[in-house]
Amino acid sequence: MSEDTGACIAVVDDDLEVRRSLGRLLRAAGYEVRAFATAEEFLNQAELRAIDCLLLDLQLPTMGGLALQEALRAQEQCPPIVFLTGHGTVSGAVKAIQVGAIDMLTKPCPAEYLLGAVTRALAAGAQKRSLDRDRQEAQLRVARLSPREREVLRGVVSGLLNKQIGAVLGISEKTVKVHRGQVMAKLGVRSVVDLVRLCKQTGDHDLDLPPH
Amino acid sequence: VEVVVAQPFFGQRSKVGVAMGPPKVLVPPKPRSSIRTMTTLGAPSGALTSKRGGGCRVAHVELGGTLFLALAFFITFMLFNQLVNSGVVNFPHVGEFGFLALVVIMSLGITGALRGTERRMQAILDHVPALVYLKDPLGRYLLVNRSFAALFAHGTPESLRGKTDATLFPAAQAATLRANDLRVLETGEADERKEVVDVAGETRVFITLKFPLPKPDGSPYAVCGVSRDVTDALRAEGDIETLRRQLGHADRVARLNAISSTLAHELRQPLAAILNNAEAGLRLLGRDPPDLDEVREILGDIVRDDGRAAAVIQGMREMLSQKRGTQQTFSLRTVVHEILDLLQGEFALHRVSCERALKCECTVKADRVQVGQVVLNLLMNALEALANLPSGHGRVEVSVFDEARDGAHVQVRDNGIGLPQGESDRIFEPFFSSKPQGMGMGLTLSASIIEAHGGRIWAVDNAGAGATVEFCLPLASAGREV
Repeated sequence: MSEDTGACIAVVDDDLEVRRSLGRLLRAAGYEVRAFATAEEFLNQAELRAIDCLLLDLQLPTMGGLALQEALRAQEQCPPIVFLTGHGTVSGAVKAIQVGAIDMLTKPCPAEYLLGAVTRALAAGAQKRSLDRDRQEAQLRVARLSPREREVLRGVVSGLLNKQIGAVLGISEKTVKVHRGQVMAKLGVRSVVDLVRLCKQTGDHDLDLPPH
Repeated sequence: VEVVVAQPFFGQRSKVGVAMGPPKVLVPPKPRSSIRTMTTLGAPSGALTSKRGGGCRVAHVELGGTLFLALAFFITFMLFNQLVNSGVVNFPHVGEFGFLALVVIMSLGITGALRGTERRMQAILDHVPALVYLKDPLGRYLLVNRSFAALFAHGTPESLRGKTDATLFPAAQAATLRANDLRVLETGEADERKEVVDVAGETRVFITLKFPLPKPDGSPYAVCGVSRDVTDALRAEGDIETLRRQLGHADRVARLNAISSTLAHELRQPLAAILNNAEAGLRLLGRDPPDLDEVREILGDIVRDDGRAAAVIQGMREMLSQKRGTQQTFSLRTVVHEILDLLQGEFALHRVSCERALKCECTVKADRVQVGQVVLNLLMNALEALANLPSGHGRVEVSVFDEARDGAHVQVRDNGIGLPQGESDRIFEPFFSSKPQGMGMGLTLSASIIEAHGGRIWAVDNAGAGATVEFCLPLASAGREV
């Protein structure tokens, strides 16, 4: 049991009793809970940064669960979402999962499944956060390169030989080697494999393209 | 001079009117609102009774005509005789011979005419798809058609002549029939009503038109009855009624299918809450020390949610139940009084004034408990609609009245928030509620109860503030007795 993990779970459900009971259960499982009656209330009042997981009712008055998911996806800090539904409609579930929901649970849902889904959501959130961190770091490092070094990097990553890179950029092979050494040093990697991995982490697809 | 019977009659009689031959005088029928198709059955009563009745009533119509004819012939003959005697026409014995010949021809003609008329009449009567019969003032059958005779095993028009209803039908029924005959004889007016008799071990319902056949002095010498068997038609109506009920049920089932997912949702909410609460409770009990206060609170919530789920199921059951409940005859006014007394505390608590305008007893035949539930429901709705008014301003008027068109009415009028704007036509739909904690079943159930009793329910916004909800039920007396 994940006692007292301290993670913050947001619950959005228009049914007062359901909301209250979910809050109790999650608190008993050691989470911190913020409860909201409507999607609008959540959007207006919730501090997205502080929320680690969102338990979202699919059928909400006016703005539905799927619409809220859509709205959150547009934002940078979208917490992982676990949907709850009283209907168990297949179409809605497929859509929600396709666009990244962790799970779709049918009410009434045993605590085992509910907390299991929450745990997975938190893990997914943590993983996403660590990926984000890695990317930011990689981007920072790449940003330290000079324009010329950046072009050499692109050549190396796309698999060109030093000679070829020199030909493309109109510089000597020797100069390319110097730049290459600078790149490896600035980025703190020791092999071409690490270099490629780091470029992947930045998420910058330009780096995969050969220089011209 | 001639006896003329011109009576309105029901349905398909035009053929008869044509085939009847020329009645002596035809009086147009008086309009009768209760009969849709009216044609005329001209019954030259003298002809009808010329042989059958015998005695003083015999065929004065035809004889009157014949005497007139004889007189004409006699005068012609006298003139002719004069001519012969005066020698203008010279033809020996022609006068005597001619006179005799004329008398013979006349006699034959009269008899033939009478026989022909009578045969024609009998043929027509026998083929009329109704029972036609003539009874003398003592209730003895003078004439019946074949349809009437066919009611009885081995019955022929001849064998039934001279019999009375007392020998043909059970005593109580015979007495009623006799009373109906006497009424016609006394008032001298045609009369149409339902008659119920047991025929060949089966109870059959007839719509009978009875009218007196008067002598020249106006006093009746017979009652003519024309009866149409409506048993099968009534039974078919009953079938239709059953069918309609079944269709209503099918409609409710279809509605159920449409709302089944909503129902699932309605049930899953409290069930989810119960489960979450129970699991939270277990976890809290596992702690050291256990948080008993919170567990107590949780258990209270579980009990309430269970009640909520049960109410959904009960509501569903009631809505789908085709059972019409126990029908009893009772006064709507009394029921409304009872419910209002029941709610007196509620009214006082919310400082809502209540005005009762209970104008009539309004006896209805229905399930008393169910109708009471409807009244209670409407009043509770009214009270809730008044919840946002400043204390002491709420006002509910309850009226009971009857209308000839659609029976007993109960009207509940409040000055509250009125119907939900733009959605007033949805208030009778299942699970539609304008109240935050409402389940949306109250008016749906009310409507299903009222409609099951053949009534209607509707709601309108008042010109001023608030809304009026009203239902009507058929009065117990209307169209129920045979």
